[in-house]
Amino acid sequence: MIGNGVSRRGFLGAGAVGTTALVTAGSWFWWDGGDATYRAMIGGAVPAVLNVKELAILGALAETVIAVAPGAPTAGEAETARRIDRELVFHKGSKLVSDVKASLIMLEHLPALDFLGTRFTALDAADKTHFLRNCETSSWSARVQAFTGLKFLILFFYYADSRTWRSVGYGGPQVAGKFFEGGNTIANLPPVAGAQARGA
Amino acid sequence: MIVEFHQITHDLNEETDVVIVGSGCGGATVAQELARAGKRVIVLERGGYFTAARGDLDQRSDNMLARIDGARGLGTSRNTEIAMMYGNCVGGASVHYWADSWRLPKDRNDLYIRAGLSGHEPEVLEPIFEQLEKDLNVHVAEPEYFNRMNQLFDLGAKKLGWRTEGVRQARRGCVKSGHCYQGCAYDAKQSQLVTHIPAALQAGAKLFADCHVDQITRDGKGKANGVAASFIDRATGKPNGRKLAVKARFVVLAAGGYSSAVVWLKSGLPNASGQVGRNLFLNPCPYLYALYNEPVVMWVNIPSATGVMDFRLARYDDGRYVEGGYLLHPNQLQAEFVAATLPGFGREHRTLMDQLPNIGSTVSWIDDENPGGISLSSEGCPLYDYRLRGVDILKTRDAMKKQAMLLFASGAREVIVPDTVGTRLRDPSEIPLLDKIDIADGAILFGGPHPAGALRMGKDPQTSVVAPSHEAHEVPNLFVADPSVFPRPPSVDPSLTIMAFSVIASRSLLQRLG
Repeated sequence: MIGNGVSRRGFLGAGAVGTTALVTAGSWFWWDGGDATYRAMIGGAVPAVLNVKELAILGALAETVIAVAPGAPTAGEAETARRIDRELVFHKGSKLVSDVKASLIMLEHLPALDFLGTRFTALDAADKTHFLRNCETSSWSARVQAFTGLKFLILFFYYADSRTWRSVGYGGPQVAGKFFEGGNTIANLPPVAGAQARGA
Repeated sequence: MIVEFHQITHDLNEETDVVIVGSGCGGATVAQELARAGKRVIVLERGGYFTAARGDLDQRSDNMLARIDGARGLGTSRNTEIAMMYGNCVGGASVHYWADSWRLPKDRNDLYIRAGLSGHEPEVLEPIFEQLEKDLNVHVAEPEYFNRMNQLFDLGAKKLGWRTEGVRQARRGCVKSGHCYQGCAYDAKQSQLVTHIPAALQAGAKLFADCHVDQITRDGKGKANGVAASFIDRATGKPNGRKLAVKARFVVLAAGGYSSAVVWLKSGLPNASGQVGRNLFLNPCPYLYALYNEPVVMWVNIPSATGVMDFRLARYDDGRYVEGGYLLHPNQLQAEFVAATLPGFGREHRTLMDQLPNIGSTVSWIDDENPGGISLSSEGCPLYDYRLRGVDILKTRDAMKKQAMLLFASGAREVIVPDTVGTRLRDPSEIPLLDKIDIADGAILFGGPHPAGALRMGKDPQTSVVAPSHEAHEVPNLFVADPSVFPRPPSVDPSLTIMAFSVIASRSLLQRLG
């Protein structure tokens, strides 16, 4: 039985065949999503492992996944997408990185199949939510897992930010934090040059 | 002494009696036993050295998973069904374990003996367990260490007529911080970091942290004779260019249930039996959330001071599965883990998070019978194949149903399943839904905290990797001392059994060392 799990192979279930097909199909839709558009979405942020487009998609996903409580930071202010990007530095060469990248591209271009638009990042807030709801309940497991895998990362890193704790009544640690060079806190992120990163 | 990566300024060559790969429950125990017997011991640990005294164990999950977890908290099986939980630090997985301390149950010990594990009989293990329990201050927690979730658990079980039992804890001076999984900031949890490691060092062992074993080396006759290793820069997780070569009379592989088979395969050691990497069990952990009308604050105090053990063994009727095959416990998760595993997103998720203090949880450890396996990709990366199947699916569904029953009986107004579609039970009459929901292939992310079996022990070299002496059938002078040798999971938390088996491995080594 080992090795027979082809139906949902890989992190986020983004199987190679499906991803290849999507990326190929996606190339038809990239005409309205050039680098400049994505670059504007991430402000001056410089991605570490993801490319500009992928970081922008991740930022847009994070803003949709996180409903901000009063007094808590937005996903962009919490640098959620950049923290995930930094985390991938420590997984370079692993399947995690390739699957995160594949899943981001998949989710960016799948709205076309739902007749919602050509790119996730270009949808309005209601359609973004509608699309992600469709992802959760899809019968296509690769689509489900592409979203749920990214959602896990987004929620983990957002709620690992101490600024979110008060809003949910979480007491948090009882000892002082200590900077760790190999860690992944906001203090580990390089400063963003120029304008504040938006959604990333 | 402990040597860390930043202290290494040039390549090193060492010679010793025994080199031990890994510093968790297996490696640290062997190191202590051999060093105390006067043998020259070197321990190599891939992860870093993090201590409470330095303030390293700062309870923040993002920092701590990066410091102490094997895949920085993000390792999964290939089908994403299992979140692999394991250690990568001095002290190994014991640094983030819950300190539950169980002796190997007699029925499972008998099964091991029937599988050919001579020398590990109950009468051999009993005095070892006694000593370990003394060393680690293993005891049943007093009522003050029961957080509200533990109290509710007992209440629910009592209403259902289920017997509860105190879970014995390896703790000394617990301050109830509740951050056991992140590594105890108070040295109260009796992990290897604060017990067998310092004892081994005091007896003369030498430990290299941040030291990745590239290969177990062999002489011309195929006998293990040392290791080749690289030092890792802790800030980047990458080799820093410095190498270590150790010549040793014996090598002990104790890298843990997820990693020892990987070291074996990467070293290109013989595997004529084809058993290396097979038989991977991991105690999958289904868990449920519940909403209460009162604050539960499950993230403080001891995670699991109590439990229901009467379902530990599966019950069959005429060969047909009836129930059981797992332990049932209160669960403990910090905010970020709850957030990442609650169903939904956006406003729906936010509504749940707004009730975080009122969220409780239970968890089961499934005594899995259908193993997965470990292999290497064409690029040499470890691949973990595991899927719940057969009777293990029935056990998992039964465990979830029992959890839901207990949660409702304890006063929960709603039970939440952490599945992708966000199944919610608002009444006990909806519990049968748990027989129907999709739980396979990542529909629910199960924890996999207790890997075992990928280098299993047995008498027959055709069907096992390691002899009852702990020496590898096919590689003389290579011993294995970690849960990889278990022919089946112990059906309880394995830490004490790993240590006890490692004492036996040490005795075999001492005989050979003379």
